[in-house]
Amino acid sequence: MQGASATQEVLQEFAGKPVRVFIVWEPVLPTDWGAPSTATLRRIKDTRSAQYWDKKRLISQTVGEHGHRSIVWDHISVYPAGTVWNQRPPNPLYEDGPVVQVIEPLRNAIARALQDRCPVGSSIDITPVVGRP
Amino acid sequence: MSSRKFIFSALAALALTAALVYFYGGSQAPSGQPPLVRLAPENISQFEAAFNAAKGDVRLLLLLSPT
Repeated sequence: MQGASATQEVLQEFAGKPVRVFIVWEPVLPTDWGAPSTATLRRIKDTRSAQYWDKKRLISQTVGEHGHRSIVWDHISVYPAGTVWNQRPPNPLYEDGPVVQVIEPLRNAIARALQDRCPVGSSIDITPVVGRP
Repeated sequence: MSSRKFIFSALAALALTAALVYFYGGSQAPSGQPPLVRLAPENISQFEAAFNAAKGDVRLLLLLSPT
């Protein structure tokens, strides 16, 4: 769950930017008896987020799970604007995990995706809010 | 039972209750977010539709364990 909190911090850095977040909670550990609690859901408060409980790990299977040893979890993907999900997810610009250990490359990938989204010569500032001089 | 054992048992019960409530109490999404969606084969297309509806934005997909 540290990954969720770390992601929330990164999202705060990109406040107001055109970013949408899909959080899929899935049973992986023996203690994952049911849907995430209110306290767990609050770990990502960003209003650009939508949260899902995927009891059958359908999304994990869609992105590559083919057995218990290959469950896709504690994992984050960044998709550029313009791509669509058609039975399968589009190719991510970036993906990795465990989430808490890939925060810096995640931050860079989001910035790059926002840069790519902006037309050449655009004056939209994609610098994270935190870390600006 | 000595008072020491009683206090220890009460604290342990309290901690267990707090942990149960924290990890398993309700599933209300934070204010400003849509309600938690429970995915199933019948509604998996909703997820795809939501993902594609945000086509103009950069999208992040997180897969996490709730505990």
